[in-house]
Amino acid sequence: MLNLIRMHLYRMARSISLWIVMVIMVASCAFSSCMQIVSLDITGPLWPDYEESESGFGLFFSPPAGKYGEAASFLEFYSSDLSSGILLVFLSIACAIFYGEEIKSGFLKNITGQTRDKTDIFWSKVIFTILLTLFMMLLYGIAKFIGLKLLFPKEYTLRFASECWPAIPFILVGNFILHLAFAGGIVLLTMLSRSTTVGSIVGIFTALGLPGGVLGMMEESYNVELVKYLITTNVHNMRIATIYNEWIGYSEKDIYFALGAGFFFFILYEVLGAVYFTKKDVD
Amino acid sequence: MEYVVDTCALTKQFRKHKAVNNISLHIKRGEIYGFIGRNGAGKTTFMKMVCGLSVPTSGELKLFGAAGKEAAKYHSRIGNLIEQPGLYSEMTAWENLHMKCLALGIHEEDYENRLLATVGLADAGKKRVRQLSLGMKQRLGIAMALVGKPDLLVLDEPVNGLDPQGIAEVRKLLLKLKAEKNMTILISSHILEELYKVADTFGIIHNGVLIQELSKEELDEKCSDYTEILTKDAKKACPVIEQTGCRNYQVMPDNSIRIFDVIPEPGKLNMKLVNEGCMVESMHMVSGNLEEYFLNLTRD
Repeated sequence: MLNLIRMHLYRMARSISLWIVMVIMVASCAFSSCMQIVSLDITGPLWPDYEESESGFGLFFSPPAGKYGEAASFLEFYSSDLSSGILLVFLSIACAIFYGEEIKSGFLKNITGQTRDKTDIFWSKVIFTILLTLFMMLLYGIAKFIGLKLLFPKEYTLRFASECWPAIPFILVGNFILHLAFAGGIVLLTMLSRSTTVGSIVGIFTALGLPGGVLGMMEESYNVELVKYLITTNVHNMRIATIYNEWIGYSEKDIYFALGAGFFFFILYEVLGAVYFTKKDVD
Repeated sequence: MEYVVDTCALTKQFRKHKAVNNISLHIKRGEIYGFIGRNGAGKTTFMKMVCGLSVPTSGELKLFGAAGKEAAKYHSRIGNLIEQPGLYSEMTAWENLHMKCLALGIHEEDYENRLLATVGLADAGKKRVRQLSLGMKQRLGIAMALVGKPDLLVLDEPVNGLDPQGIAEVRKLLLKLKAEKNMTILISSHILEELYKVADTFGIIHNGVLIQELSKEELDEKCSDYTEILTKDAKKACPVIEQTGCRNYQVMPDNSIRIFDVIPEPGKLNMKLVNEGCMVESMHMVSGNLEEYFLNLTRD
């Protein structure tokens, strides 16, 4: 199993297309930082009041909401970005490219027979997806941190987490689980469709909120609650502001719900993937 | 006798279509087994099952004498090149080999370069796979199959796309692997004459069914020269031919008769046929070949 994980990591290091995705992600991160600061400048204070974020189809970067009288911290900027769904977009493209290349190349034929247990290959993929998600979250965080520091050395006094330390585990673990579940879904879709294009396009449109819009219409028609179960919905809710400002309307209970949804979808996708991978012949 | 691969009624069914139908095949240790069949005959599907890339619908597959779940353990001793080589086009030849070495936990120094040299790609290690010619990719595919020093090598059309020199090199390599490492090789190819040069035993598959399994000696016998008699009345000619002691003959759809036994006095036979009122239009010797034999066997 460790050998297989090493193999995935080696391929990741050598995959040009994957690094192009990472570079674009870092550039987008810098761009979002610029836009957030511009937005803060327009609205006046660097310590903004919380505004209800926009919702609908697309990526929405809300200015981070610090508590009254305080500058927004790095973690507030970071969580604000993650909740926009930008990392979901790049994560889905990265997963679709990585696993799509594997299917397209037929490389699995070389190792499936000679690996002791076929399921080892699947679990090595799961572990690699976990590592890839962690890496991309970390890379985005580093890019955000450096971006804020470089772009606004004077205007912005950087603090890591202000008074929201208790929120850090929620933000990081919660976002990680939700992003991981989303990545698991994209990996499964890429495996089933055997297409990088399908995996990445569905991933992008889902991250941009298309299913939320469709399910929203269904909710109105059939009087059922569906949108709240979506990974993307829960990612949008997973913000420091959500945890800290109870007056916004979200509570810790909602955060636990988001964690539960993330776990549920992660397990569901991996079980379906494991069944499919072990039963299907290798092409 | 110990068989490396021993199948009993092995079957693979895709919905209603039986791609491999009740194949019972035997590959001895240290031999090169040539698998002959048309496109879509079921060769690849069978090879995939042997390599553990596909699960049989029914039947038994014994590997290195072990059956059932025990047999699955021996998949690690089988290297394969099935259909096109599975390679990452953006990575170099060396990196592709290194990937497989990592997956199998092989950390020998210079291992990848030695494998590249074995298949004649010593100078191509740093080239990206997309820059390699079809023949070079095939050779790299063989190198990939050799990673982990397998005891059984399964090669599906390995000389596909190779130039005559490349084909000769692969042939030399296979014979060397057999001689030096006692490696057992299951190989399929549509270049029958080429297969004939390397294989010890032949399996002919048609529509998923193994229609014949024979040794090189047996094949030589079957593909031997024959006398062809062109006559308009084959029915009349047959008893006359049998009177001369020839039993091994075949009446073809065009009414010609092929006699595989040696006719000591062809002139006498001709005379007898004429005396029996059977007009002989021509009688001549034909050199038999593997291709014709194969085409006759697999004619629908």
